[in-house]
Amino acid sequence: MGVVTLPENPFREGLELRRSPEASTMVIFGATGDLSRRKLLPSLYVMHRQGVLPAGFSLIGFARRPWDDGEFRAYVRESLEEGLQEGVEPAAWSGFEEALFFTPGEFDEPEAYVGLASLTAEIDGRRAGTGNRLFYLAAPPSSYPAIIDGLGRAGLGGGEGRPDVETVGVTGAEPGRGGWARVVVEKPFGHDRSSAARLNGQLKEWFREEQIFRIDHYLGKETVQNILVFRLANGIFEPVWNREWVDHVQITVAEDLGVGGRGPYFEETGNMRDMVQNHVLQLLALVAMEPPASFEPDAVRDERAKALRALRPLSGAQVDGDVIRGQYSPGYVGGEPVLGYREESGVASESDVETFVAMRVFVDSWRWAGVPFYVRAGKRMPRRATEIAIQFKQPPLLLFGEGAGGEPEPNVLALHIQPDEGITLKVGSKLPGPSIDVHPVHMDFRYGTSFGRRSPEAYERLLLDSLLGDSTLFSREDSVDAGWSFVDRIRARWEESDRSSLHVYEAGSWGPQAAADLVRRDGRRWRRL
Amino acid sequence: MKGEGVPVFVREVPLSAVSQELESAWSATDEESRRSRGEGMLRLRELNYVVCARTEAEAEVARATVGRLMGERPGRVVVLVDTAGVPGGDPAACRLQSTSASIATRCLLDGGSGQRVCSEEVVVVASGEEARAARTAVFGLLVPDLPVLGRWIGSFSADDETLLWLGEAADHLVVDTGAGPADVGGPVPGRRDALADAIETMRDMRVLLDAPMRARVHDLSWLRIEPWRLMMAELFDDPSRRRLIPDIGRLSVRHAGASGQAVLYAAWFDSRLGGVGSVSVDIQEESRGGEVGLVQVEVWDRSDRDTPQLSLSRRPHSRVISARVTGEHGRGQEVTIKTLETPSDEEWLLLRRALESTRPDPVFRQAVGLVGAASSA
Repeated sequence: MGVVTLPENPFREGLELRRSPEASTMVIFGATGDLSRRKLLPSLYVMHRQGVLPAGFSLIGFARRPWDDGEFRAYVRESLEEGLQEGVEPAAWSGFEEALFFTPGEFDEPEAYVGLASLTAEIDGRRAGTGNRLFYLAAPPSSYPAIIDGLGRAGLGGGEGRPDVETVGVTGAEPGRGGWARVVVEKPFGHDRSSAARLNGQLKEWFREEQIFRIDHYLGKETVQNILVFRLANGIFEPVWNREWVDHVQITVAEDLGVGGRGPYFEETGNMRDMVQNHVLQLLALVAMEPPASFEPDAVRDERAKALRALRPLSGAQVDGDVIRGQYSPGYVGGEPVLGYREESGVASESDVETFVAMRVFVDSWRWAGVPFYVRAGKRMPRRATEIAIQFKQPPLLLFGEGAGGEPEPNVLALHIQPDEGITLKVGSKLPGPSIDVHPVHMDFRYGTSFGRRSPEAYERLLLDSLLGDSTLFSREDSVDAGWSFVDRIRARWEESDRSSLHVYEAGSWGPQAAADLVRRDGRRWRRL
Repeated sequence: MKGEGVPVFVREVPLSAVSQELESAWSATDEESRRSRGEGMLRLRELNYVVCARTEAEAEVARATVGRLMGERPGRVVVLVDTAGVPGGDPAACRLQSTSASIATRCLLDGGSGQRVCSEEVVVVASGEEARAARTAVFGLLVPDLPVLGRWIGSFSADDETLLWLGEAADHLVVDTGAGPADVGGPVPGRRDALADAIETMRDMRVLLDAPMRARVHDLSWLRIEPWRLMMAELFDDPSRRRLIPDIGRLSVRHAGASGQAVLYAAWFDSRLGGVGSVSVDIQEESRGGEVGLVQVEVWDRSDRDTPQLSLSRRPHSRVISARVTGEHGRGQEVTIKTLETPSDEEWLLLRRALESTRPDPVFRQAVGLVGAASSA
């Protein structure tokens, strides 16, 4: 019997810029947690209000609290009132509220997943009828294995499953309709290379790679997506995006906040695992990667993974010279006194966990050979700022050096990721007047003002992509592995070295003096942000 | 930046001296800014706006609309008032009333930086001069190398020389097929000629789309029905509903004072199903207490059932559209499957949408081409 192919939706033609996923049922594990309250629920509501969520979409909250649908809806409403500046519109809320459901359960309780399977089937049959399901793991990472196993054993994985295990749930799809199942896994994806491999293995028992969406919300930010557009949709940048023209690259991920209530979590992770292994390396990969053959998910992810694999490994004494780790001491941020890291709640008084990392790394590719990438990521910095700066080489002949205000400042292309998303190009210009004085001027583009519309929150974009099955902005197994491989070597050196390799910096500063020296010894300096 | 901007400097100047006087205006605005706020202002121009209106009242409304848009896309505005067809007015289109113009600078506070951001406006009231002179003057007033948004206010005729000139001068030409005399007067239930007017306007639109012009033509009515098109498209994203497409027999469209939107929607629907008269169309008008726009769309199959398969309807006095289906998942009754508050269709937001479009819209062209065939009320 031949396969019957349905025609494309003729009403979609001309509307392709408004992508619409198929009807589906989404389940959030940890639906009453912080991530869900601050990010996921507001993002889903905004998507609903903008008409991005499909007709027939439903959301099931799964958590330990013994709530019913009504209590969950009240909780969601409260979260939205709290988190959305513009508040909740009654008309939009009534449509959204109808789509919300709740099922209480322990993550390691198999019966809870059987119940979830029944509920999903019932809701799907009533509202969507597609059998499509998206599972979002927003629970503590320690519960991931139990959730993955619970989903698989209840027959909710949608893949081939384990041949040795008989699934006990109901599939929920109407006969002959199948439907897809996808799982979104929040960071941290493991705490080192071997634990990440173990987690991947657990996922692969029940899900295929194309069903797994490892989220790094930095990749959902407009400016991060714009890195590739900027590079590849403009004829003038890509020709100079290489070792011939670029002097060095700086990547800064600065937070003004300390660890706050996340002390115990941070004691287990540190900044290298919390920020560098995922966010920073993904930003670096987008700058360093080769143009993909197409914008298909795997074509883009192939190039990102290649860039990460091309990172020159740092180990042993190289780590001592090229990686600076720091920890903040008491100081002032924004004029307010703040605690040092060791005084934070849940932090050991003798802790040597790093809250700051600065590194000089090299990407050993034809394009970037010899070009240093300076990376810094830290907490309790003077301000919150994430930026990628490409500093270009000076012109070959400095015609205006003598008597022209000294050596002109180099051209810098700065990609501002947050908080004020945009791009700045610094160029030299003649100062008006009789002499030739070269002064830097900035050509500025800001998302907030240039397009006159709000940029979608990173989670809105990534939730939509996961509903659409577009994995371009999600991390693949090989990228995660390459990132951990790079980071683990550095951490191994730290573990064998003594405490003196930890540099203390005052809260509200740009990190320890050793970080400034790291760049200065190459005749360069960190950008003032 | 929000709002329409505060005029800081307004002056009547000879047309020939507009550019030079604008420089004086900017100096004066900057001085005023330094005096009152202790810092200079930022002069921004990223667009040219050329507005052609028939009366000064229309021009005033258009200026307010463009003013809203300038809050986000600052630029230079040139307004020409076309008195053609207005009782007592000059029969020629877009002609200069005199050799004078009014220039103004408008400033807004940028919420992010707190900086004062200013743009400029040049108003030329038309009558008494040759059309050629008016056009030459406008060309001279455009800021070079910036995109031009041309906005034609009111009804139009595809052979209007000035409209075609505007289409050549601009990168985006925005007209409104819903601005014909029948719809502008407000809804009058049972009026038959509104539909005829709308169909006639679409014929003009077809000619305009085929005219050799630089500008991409946008229709505000087409943009206004976009949420309705999206909702319909979304219903058919479900593969099980796509199977029903061959059985669609009839489309019913109800509107309030929006014949242009109704015929366009019907034609779009027909075009999506593959052609001329593939479904029978029923368009009805109703009064909604001053509300204007589409009210309800129903899709019927070819059976003699007494309920539509799918329907979209807008709640009175709101922008909320509900999508309903009948007889799915083994249930006979009508079920609401999606309720959506659609975005505002204020004109300045539609102009922004037009500016953001980067590609020609073949679907619009197809729909316009089918208007006469689909709108057999």
